[in-house]
Amino acid sequence: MRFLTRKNIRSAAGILLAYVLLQGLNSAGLLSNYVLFIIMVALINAILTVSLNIITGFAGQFSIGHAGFMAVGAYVSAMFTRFVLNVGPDTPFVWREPAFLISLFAGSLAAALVAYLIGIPTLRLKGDYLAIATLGFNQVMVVLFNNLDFVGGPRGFTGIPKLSDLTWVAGLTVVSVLIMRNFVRSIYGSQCVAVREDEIAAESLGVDVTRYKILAFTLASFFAGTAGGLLAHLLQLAHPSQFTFLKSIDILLMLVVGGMGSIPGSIISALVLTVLPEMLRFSQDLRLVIYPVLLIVFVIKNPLPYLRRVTAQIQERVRAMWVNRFGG
Amino acid sequence: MPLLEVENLSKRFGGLQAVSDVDLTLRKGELIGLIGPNGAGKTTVFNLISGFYRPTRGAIRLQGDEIAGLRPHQIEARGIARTFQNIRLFKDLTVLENVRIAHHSYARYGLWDSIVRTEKFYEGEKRLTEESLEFLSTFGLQDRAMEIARNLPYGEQRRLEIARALATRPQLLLLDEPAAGMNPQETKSLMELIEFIKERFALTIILIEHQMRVVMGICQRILVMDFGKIIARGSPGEIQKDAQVVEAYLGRQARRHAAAD
Amino acid sequence: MEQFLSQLINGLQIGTIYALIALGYTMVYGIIKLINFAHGDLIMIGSYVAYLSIVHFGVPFPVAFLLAMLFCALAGVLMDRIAYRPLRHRPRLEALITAMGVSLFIEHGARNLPFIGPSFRRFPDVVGVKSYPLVSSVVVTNVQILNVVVAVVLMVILQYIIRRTKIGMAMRAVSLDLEAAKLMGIDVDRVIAVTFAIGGCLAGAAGVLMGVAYPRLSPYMGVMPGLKAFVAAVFGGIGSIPGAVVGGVLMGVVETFATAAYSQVAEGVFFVVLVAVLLFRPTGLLGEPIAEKV
Repeated sequence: MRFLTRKNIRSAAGILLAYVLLQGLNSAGLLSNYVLFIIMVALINAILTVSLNIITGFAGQFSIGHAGFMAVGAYVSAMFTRFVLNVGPDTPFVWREPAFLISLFAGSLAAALVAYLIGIPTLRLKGDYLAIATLGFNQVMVVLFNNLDFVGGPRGFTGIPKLSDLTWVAGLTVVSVLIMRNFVRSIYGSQCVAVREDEIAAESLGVDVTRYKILAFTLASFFAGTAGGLLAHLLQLAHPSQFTFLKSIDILLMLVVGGMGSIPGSIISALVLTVLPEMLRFSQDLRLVIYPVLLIVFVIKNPLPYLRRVTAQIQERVRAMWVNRFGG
Repeated sequence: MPLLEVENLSKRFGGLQAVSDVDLTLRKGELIGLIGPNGAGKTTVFNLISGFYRPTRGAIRLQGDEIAGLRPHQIEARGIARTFQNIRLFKDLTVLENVRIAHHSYARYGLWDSIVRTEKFYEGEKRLTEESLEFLSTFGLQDRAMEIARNLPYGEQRRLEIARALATRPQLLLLDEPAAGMNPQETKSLMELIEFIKERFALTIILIEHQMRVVMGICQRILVMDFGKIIARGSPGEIQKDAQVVEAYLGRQARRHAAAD
Repeated sequence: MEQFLSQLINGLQIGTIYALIALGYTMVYGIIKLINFAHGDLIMIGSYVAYLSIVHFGVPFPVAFLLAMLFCALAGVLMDRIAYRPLRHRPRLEALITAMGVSLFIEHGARNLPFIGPSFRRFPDVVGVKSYPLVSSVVVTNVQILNVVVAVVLMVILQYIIRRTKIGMAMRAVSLDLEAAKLMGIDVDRVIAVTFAIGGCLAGAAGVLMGVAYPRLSPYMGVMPGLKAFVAAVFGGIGSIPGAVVGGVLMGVVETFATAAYSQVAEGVFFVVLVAVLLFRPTGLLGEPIAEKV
């Protein structure tokens, strides 16, 4: 089995360990609801950031409407859970869990479908114009859901059963990131990168540029839908105001700080940028000001390559010590 | 059957007639030159043949099949490859990656295979990398495989661009000013390279070039363009003497001098 | 008919305000290819500067107006100097993100200032509102007349600066080819600073006009108008000055009509129309189609 490399086994073990630890703390009642909540939101943001990375970081298409697809995923999955599959508090476990999966899948698929339909005309646009079009689409989604009364309209979609727990969120984050990573590290991902680097050269080499833009867009939006669905079933609410272009910009921020084209960067950035503002909670007002300043400094001074070098150096140091102590 | 037939090819951009009534017939295995002053429409002809522009009028046939109006990637699939006046390498990717992308149709695995990582995927990736490395060694670039394309010296960048174009296994290769910016030594290597690849890959080549040494040295026949039209055709010897050609390049005075020779 | 006319007047009022804001966006974009997301917040700064000078320092209205423009011009120059200049040669996306950061900083920062604060402030009634009958029951107020006249005057001055002064020529040169302008000996950094200053001036003016027309001030009041003006600038062709004016006015008029007709979905309809137009004219109504050399 080729994927059972040492690196992969180590990563898998690490993730499993973290999960078991968290789950253990949770069961022992040592993890407050609040902390658990933040962790889950951070993981959901990680899915969003990695998926936006596919569109903007790897395929080079500037999209600031990602939250719109989140909205589609949230609402459609919630509709499935509440209306189609009728999941409620007294639904037995055996049916509840598969039903959740089906709903999430439906939401993701819906988001992907919408992305595909929108992508075909709008991905012909370039740069700032594409940005505006995606922004426009985002706002259209918000207005749409604000006016659909059967999903709550301006009051939002309430009464969504709380089906998202750590296992679901963590599990789906791992699966989503894995799928996206495998896509990127393949000839398909390479062709998306070719599109980003030089569309004309790519086209001359036989890369169907439009097809790959749409592919990246659709795939990424699928997972944005997953994230939306997970969030809706965590908050037990889906409200149009959660999915405005401001949320899209939030995700873009996380992407840029983590480094475009870097999946581990996106994950770490999402985790840090979700948790950090919460840590600054001591002063609500101050945090709102510090956060953008940090962002500006981060972009201008670009500490990421420096940070990466430092962490790499530390890793080397630790590895050397380990080998010294215990042999190779 | 000729490999490429171009009939009455014209391209208009708003008020500007960039190309008008260009005819050319190309047989398999030929190496022809397309020359002319700047702005004559040579690159436009390339863009039309390779699908980056749609003709305003006229026909382009590859082995009898009409290809005018097809998208560039479709035309690539039919066996036409090209290089660009300003080198269009994927500058921030490695040399190997540049060629691997060109080899994309050799991967032979689907999306599902890449996501689930089947055996087919690993085999395909291995094949892609091996073939790309081997390809690079044909051009003497295998030692540079992991270098970022941007860091290569200019001459090697050009070579890489040509190699990358050939990785798509074309029948017809369009070279757009490959000798631009080269010193005499590099130019000589380039000429050798062009003759080598023509042999090795059984290519038919159209070459746009300003350096007369290259054109006269390796082209079997030449077409001269000026103001969007073809003003002369013939062998290198015939072209050099053609009064219209001399005038187009050097002006009226030179024409009188040429006539006096 | 009367409804149409009065809505048209309303539309022109907000439209000229949008046009002033859109001009700032388009000029900055034209010169350094940056979408200054913080531009909308200059509106807010302009409003508050005028508000504070009138209410706390008893400054007469015209002076307050000029103060607002001056302050915002300064703010614009500072923005460029501190946040955007360091990123001049870096990928545009980084500058974009920084612009968002600047915008958030200004908004939240203002919110925390005691004399601005999170609650709404009311712009003082400095121009006693008087209505003039136009056609049958259609009225136009002096505020509206002031609005349009001031906006038009500013646009004419801008046009003069751009077409008839040396600095204007320098601005045009830099927007066409920054490197070439540098080689011609133009102090590019200075020209860019001037562009930001002018853009800031116009935004400040827009802010005061907005304060007079819609007296509710809040730290976040610049967000939506800024966004709409930005969309208008792109719609009209980003980088094109007449495009910004046309886009802004159109945006104001269409928005007013759409809100009057289908207030709930007006915004949504607008964006759908916007996207549709972009598909047919990808560089906006009056934009220059950018042909990439193959």
